[in-house]
Amino acid sequence: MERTISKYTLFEYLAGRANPLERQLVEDWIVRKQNAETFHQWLLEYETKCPQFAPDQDAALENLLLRLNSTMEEAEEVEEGRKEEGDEERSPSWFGRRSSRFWMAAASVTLLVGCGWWFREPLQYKSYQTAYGQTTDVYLEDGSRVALNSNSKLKVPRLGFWGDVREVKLEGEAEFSVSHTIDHKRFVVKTSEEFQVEVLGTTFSVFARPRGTKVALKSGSVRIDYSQNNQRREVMMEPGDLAFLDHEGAVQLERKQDVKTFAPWTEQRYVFNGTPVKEILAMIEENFGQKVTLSDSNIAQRSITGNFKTKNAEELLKTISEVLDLRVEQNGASILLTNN
Amino acid sequence: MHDPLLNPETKRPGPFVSPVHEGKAPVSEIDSATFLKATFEQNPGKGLELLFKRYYNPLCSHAVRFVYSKQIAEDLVSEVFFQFYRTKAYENITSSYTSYLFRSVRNECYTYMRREFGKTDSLELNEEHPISTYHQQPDAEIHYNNLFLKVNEVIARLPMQCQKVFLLSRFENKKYHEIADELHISPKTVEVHISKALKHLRSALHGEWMISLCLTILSIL
Repeated sequence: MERTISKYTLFEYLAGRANPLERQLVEDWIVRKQNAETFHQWLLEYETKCPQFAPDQDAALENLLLRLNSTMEEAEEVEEGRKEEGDEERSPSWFGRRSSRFWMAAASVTLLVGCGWWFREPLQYKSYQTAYGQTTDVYLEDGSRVALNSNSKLKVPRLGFWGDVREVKLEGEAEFSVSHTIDHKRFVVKTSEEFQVEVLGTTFSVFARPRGTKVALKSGSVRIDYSQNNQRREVMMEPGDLAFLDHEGAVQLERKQDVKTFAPWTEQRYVFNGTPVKEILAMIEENFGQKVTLSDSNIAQRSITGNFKTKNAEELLKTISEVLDLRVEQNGASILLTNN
Repeated sequence: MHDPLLNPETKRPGPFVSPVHEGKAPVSEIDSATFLKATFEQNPGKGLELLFKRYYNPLCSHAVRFVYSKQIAEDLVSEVFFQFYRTKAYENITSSYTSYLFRSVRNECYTYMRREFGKTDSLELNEEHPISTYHQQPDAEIHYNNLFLKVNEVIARLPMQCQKVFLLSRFENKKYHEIADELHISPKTVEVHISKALKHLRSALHGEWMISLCLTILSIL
């Protein structure tokens, strides 16, 4: 038997005021499929008649439309992006439609790579630097020793020596005692893009300062690779050889020098052999950062021969001034040498 | 059954509605439905707008009976409209718009409540199913009704102050410290009231999930 209920009963039921009997009646009625439409219709009526609250319909609609628009656009973008992929001629519009998020990501990646490229040196190399008047010994992981003179910088690969070349970079002055490896790995000291010293196992010193570049070989053999006028050149050195780069960019060799004079600074010794004062003063400035001026340019031409042991510029200058009979005057930050 | 004198306007259809009339929607309803259908065919955006304006408020009013939060009710109803448009459900609905929307909203509310107040939701069978399949269960509607009636009952039974705090927090969406200021109590007390109300709800609704879970499993078998 079909039983029907009144709208009023349903409303009472929805309001929670129906007694158990009514409740049963209503539920029996709702369960029947053919009543579903009516039930929802009455539900709508009930909610319209006794609303629980008044939502801001216009704002809600606006939000919904906004949300729908953005979703639809995204969907379109994906579709069009797919369509136009491989379509080279229309790529500008394809670029234009990429979302801003894509560009943000692309920009971040570019920035990261750029930073990595910019900082590749500090990332790749560990540097050792000495201050004025300070020397230090650096031991490399292959057992080689580098004595670093003052005001110099040595860069060693942070992650160890990979490949078949042990490459370090030098600015300043250093003496290398390179140990020979079992697999005959070459050891390369780069002072610039145009100048490098390559060895297998030997002791030599490299001087690479603005004033010039010099290499002195104590033992073993080294090869100097340099480029002059964009041409690659090389020079083989024998023990006792002193090589220096002249102003034209060519390497000159001075054979059979006293190896003891090569890197005396490693024991805080300075060896001068008819060395002009001008050169000594340049050396003092390089090693101790002490600027020295002369009152008379004739002094610069005088030379000194001798073996000095000193730890600072003042001591050395005092000795030199005594030898040459000069007066040392402190003139602000710089020192002035005058004839007595 | 009831006293007609208490509520004279609602009596209008009369206690004995003829079965013939009952099965069908009123004439005006059919008219607006055909109008809506035509609009959806020509301009879905316009159709959505019309539909929204007609149904948003009553649907929210209904949803809030379940979730007891204006904000959540509005969000849930908006979601239904969103999906309705996005999935182009308007192209192939078999029932009336009223029926479709109410079923969807009620189902959405039910899912929400289950997620919020269900204790162990190891079997989220309900959520996996598209709206239409779950609707084929005839007693789903009764479950939905029982759920919001139960929520109503639990909240009505709460102690006065607790009820007040709960409604301010959930229905009005106010912050704990705002409620504390308004009622001149400490924020700590507000917290205690809220957790008490939620505990009541949880334990009262626990049975609901059990029943529905069994039914869902049975319906799948």
